Amino acid sequence: MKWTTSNLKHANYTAKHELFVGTHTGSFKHLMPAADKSPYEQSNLSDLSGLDKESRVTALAFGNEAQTEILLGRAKNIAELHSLGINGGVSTRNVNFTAAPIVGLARYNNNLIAGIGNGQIQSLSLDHGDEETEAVIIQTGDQMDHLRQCSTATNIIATGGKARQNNLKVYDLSADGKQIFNSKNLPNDYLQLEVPVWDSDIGFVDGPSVLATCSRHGYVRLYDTRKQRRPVTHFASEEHGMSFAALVARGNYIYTGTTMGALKAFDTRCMKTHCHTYKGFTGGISDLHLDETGKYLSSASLDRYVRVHDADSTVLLYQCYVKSKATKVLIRQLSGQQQQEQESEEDVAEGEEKKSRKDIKNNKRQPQAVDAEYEDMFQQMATVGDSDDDDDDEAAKKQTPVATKRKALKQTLKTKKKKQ
Amino acid sequence: MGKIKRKPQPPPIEEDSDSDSSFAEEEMEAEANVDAQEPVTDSSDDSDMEMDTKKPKNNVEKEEAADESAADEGEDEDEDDDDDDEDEDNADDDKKKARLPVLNPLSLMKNKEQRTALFRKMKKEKHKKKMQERRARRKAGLPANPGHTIESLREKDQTEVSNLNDSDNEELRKELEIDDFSTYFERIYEPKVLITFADNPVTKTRKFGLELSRIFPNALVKIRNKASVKKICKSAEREQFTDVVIINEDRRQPNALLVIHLPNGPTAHFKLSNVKLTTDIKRDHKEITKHRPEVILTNFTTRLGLTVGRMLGALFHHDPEFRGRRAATFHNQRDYIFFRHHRYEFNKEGKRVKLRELGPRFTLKLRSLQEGTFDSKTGDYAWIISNKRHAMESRRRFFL
Repeated sequence: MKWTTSNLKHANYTAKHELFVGTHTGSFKHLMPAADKSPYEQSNLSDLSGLDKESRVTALAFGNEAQTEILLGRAKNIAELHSLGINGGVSTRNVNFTAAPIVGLARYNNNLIAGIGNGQIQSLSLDHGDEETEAVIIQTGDQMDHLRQCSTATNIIATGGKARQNNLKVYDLSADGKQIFNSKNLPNDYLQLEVPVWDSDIGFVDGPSVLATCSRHGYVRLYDTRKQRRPVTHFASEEHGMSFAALVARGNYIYTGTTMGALKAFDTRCMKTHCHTYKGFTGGISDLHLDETGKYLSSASLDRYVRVHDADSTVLLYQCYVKSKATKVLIRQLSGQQQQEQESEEDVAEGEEKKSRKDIKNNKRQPQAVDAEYEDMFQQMATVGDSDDDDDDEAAKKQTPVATKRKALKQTLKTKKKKQ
Repeated sequence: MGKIKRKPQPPPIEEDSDSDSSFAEEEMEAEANVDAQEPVTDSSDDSDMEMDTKKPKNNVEKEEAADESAADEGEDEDEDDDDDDEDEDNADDDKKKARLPVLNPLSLMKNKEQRTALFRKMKKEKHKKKMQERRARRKAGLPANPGHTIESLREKDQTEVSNLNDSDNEELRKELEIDDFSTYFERIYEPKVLITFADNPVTKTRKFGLELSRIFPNALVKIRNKASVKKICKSAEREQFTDVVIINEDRRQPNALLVIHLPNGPTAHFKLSNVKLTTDIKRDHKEITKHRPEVILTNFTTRLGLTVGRMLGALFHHDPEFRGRRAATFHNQRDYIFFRHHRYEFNKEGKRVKLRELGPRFTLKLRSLQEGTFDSKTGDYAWIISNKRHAMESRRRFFL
């Protein structure tokens, strides 16, 4: 499609999504690309008049699995809990930490965990209402760029920052914040010089044990905490402009955005080069988020636009001007009731809709069934080649129980054809 | 002639304002009158014909030649007609109608003499009609058709800031209150500018730096001495400079301007071209007084333009000395920012103004705008299209 600056929504973008956007000025916005009448309308969920220079949004995350609570951290020491009611009502609660800026937020067992820019992880209990409680502090290093929580095992969090001592580390909150993994840098280069480290963003790949990091120094690395401390595979580029700022990973794919406005997808099975490029950006990418199905990639950019791309076909589905530089973005499915409301509003024939949904479900089921068959077949096959590599593959299969299966299916089909 | 395989009609082509677009437009009307004839052959079909049958090849060639001549003729008259055509084009675009590819039926005529005669007649009629319209307009006392300029045909930009006091610009106002230049516009500090160069600048670049220092009040010119930009920023911050301007040169010509706002950005990188020093336009620097100039920023319409305009404005002192009657202008036109420096004088009635250009003059074009102080490798860019200019740029789209 021809590039434009105007707001646009692709005709094929029918998924019911809503977007939450945190901006550089500190406003916290809600967008409804699913609405037919006004897909670009934005409502502010926080008060604009109280913003100051330090109220930039630096962290945004869902607080629970149902995605009804949003944690929002600012460049000052305040974190906000936004509980989204079913009808769109929002209640807000502020929590004060002792340091700033907050670079990552997580919630575990009624504790609010914040990663602070000075390298601390602070944990506050939310039980005591508004009472001031001492924060439990874990020191990870002297700087932190990001803290992320694993979506499947919520007790696992990972941190990363600039310089060697702030490399990727994984902590287990259920064991009093014990450090369970500490990554190791690549071996020195051919001049015996240290490879610079800057883990600017982290992503969990479908489980607590496989992590991907990206760096402003131009590398993307994939770690397996069960296997080794050094990265399992990595991509490195000396090219100017490959300075990765944001990352999100799912299945076999790692999506990273650069500070110069290039959004690339990497295939973890072949990290020599990127496999997709998503277009439309004129400014650096500040945050990425995938929806539940992993089919839609939302991105926040410093060019003041929020975009949604189709992750597989790289088509730009939605773009909206949000007035100030977007720093964080979250995408979620419209909750059931909201969706129904919308449907009734828009007078959509519900029967058809349900039918199509059922079809989708069926489609989803079928490949899984076939997949098991294939896996059996492959397990029975004799292994060829390096035993090490094989281990890797098996590990990868185990790590990615659901989402990779569909992709694995394609691969297996191809190999089968060749053999025939 | 054997059977000719016809390709299915190609999808409607969006027509650019090419040389023969005028014909196309007319064509549409003509066709509407005649009613739908057979699908008109297209140039692609012509090539098919060549492939299938060899006999009528000569004919085809002639036809094509005729087409070309027609196109040439079209170009001649185009100068006058261009405006109207584009107007129609736009209207069509708005309606988003499916358009069939159209050809002038005359160009299918094979007798050249008759064809040219008809062409001439058609053109004459068109001219006549136009003149009539013009006469009518003059009689009615209407203003002449202003026509289209690149500016007026500009693609609408979503981020355009038309009226700051609008209700839906509340957020923008808030942002302007708290952004990096807010302290300047609140007059908390006086700008102090450090001007420096690439390593070993040639005389022209040095002179240009010196002339810039005459324009920015409270500016200091320093030789760089091979210091890195990051270090310069650090020491400039320590010395309480508020902005750093670095002039880069290539092939003994100043070619880039880096403007860094301290203490925490942004950093703008401009391409610098058409540098004319005061001596080049035959003026003397002694004419330039020490008074603080007025700053005129025009045509910065988009959100990005607003930031750039604020950034350039923040290099100057906020209180001009009107006694000096100096004006420094940054005029943005199609993303090129033209700098001119004038002294003005009103005549006694105060209605007309005389201008005298003082120099230097130069042109800037934004290459990138980066958050924070200079960090070209790992810094966050708020705007950069350097590696995708072909995808992003268009003749009717401007970013500032």
